[in-house]
Amino acid sequence: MNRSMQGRIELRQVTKCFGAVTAVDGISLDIRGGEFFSLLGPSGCGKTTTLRLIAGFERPTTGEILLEGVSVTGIPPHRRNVNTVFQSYALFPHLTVEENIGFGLKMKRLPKSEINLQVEDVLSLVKLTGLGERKPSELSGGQQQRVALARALVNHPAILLLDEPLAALDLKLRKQMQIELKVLQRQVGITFVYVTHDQGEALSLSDRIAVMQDGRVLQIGTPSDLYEHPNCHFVADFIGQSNFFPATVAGHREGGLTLRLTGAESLIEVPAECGYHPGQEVILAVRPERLQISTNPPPPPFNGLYGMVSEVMYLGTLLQYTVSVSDSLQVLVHQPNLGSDSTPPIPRASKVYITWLPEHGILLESMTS
Amino acid sequence: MTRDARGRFSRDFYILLIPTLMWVICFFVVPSGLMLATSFAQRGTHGGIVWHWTLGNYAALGQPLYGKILLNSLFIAACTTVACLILGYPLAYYLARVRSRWRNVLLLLLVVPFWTNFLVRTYAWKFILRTDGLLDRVFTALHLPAPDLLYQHVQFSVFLGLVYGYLAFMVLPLYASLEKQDPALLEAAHDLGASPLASFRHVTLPLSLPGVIAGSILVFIPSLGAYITPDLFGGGKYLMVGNLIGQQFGASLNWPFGSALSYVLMTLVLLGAVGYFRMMGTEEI
Repeated sequence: MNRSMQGRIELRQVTKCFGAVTAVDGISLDIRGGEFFSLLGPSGCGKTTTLRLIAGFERPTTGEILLEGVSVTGIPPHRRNVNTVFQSYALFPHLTVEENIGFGLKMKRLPKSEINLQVEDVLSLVKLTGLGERKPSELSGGQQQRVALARALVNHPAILLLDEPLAALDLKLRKQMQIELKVLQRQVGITFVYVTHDQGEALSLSDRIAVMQDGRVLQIGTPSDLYEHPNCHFVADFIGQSNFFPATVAGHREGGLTLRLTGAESLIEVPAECGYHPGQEVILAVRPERLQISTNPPPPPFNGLYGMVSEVMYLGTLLQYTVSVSDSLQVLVHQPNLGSDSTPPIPRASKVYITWLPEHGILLESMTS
Repeated sequence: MTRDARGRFSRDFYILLIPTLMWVICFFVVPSGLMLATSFAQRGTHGGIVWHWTLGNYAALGQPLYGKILLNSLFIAACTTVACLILGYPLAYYLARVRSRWRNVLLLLLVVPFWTNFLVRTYAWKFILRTDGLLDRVFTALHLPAPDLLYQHVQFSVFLGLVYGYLAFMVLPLYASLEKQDPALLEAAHDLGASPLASFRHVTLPLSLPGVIAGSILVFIPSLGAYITPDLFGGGKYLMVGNLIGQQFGASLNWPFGSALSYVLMTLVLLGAVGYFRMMGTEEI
């Protein structure tokens, strides 16, 4: 096989309807071999359906899916070189851990000795050596999760599909499994398609992410692409936190625009492509951690806002200020917690200046347009 | 809390057991004991029970006639169970998978015949199977020889009647065990390369074994002791062990022999059930 095709997944204008409901609406994806690719979105956005289309549990209503360069329309799941880790794990309750993991190899009619050998290997890969005789019901959630992973990996699929595999685990175990998954994916080098609604998980694990909403892909990019350059309000809101300021274009300047924020006096600069005209309504997004907060006035002309601290929250790694600029304009500011000696928290009701660099502003189209 | 610190049940708990216990003692333990005693007694010249201890009632079972009836009953009950399993499994499978809106309607349809008396339904079958009955007329209309099942093949007719009568007892426990299976398990099997047939053999079937066992017991036991169906279909001339026992308590006025037969039947059922559990390797139902 052509090396560039190994583990590659292409979706071409794939649509899936259930009766009157369109779960997936004309999606096109090109997932490279060996990539850790995440489908990220809120529940009901079509990410699991997309995964099930790739696995073969659902047939596309229209469009085409190619696995390793070959169209798989009409090929049932058991003849696809793809394995799935299910959200519920779907371990066979009547079989032992070994039998669960060996199931795929048994279906391929491998000799018993060969199956045992491979099962042992993969058990040690997922750190479950010695638990092979147990039934799934005798394992903890984290261990069951590893069995599900081992059961898929032992078949050496070209592509591994993971449907919210860590959703049922508690926070600490989830963090640990995230690291193990990432290490494992590098180790085995196969394509992972990972479905999650947890943006932090997607950011920390993925090479690339497709953000989905209402059956459509809104943006595809690396984690930093999506965080630094979201292309719409939804992506900026779903990935990380953002302040959204409704604004009007006031004028052009070199390499960008000046904006007048609704509910504030000052003019704000933002870099922008051409194609905006004065008077146009836009949205300016700024990440809370990109904002500087200070009781001392910065030298004019400054790029920022003036307001009053209405709430201070201590969040451990950071301090979160809610600053009231006007009745209609609240701003969230994150300040790293560098130790109380160096940066004593600004008390409530203080008058403060919030500033940011023009390049930290993200210009988005107004939702009404 | 019904248990104290040392894990013993409290006195109140035992008090609550008394009504049930009384019921079981009065209407099960005592009659069973009486029947056991009777099975070792002798028949009086004009019926009745003479309390002379004997093993003769059990020895009489060695007579070829009675042994044959017993074996025949076992055979018919086994055939009925297998037929119910073969017919009932696909039905239960379909019911467990069908969209929920229709499921309750279909389950209701399965149970609706039970609203009619069993005797009436058995008579209805007689009208279908008898000479020039519905079945014969259909065959004749198709220019085929009339099978005249009820008179030419009474044993097969009894078998048909029993399958009809007890099919629902097989379907309901099967349905219960299939319905609670996580559909994701089947998808997992497909995903791991199992064809639909292999998925059924390695996942669906083994997971439904408790239903298979429960259904089989619920069909086998009443089939073995069937009374009405062979009585009506055979016109009193075709005997399963249930009819034989009925005769002893009725026309033959031989209660001791009837009691012995009943005990043999009970023992057989018990042994059969235990053996079946062992074979299936399942303790939990």
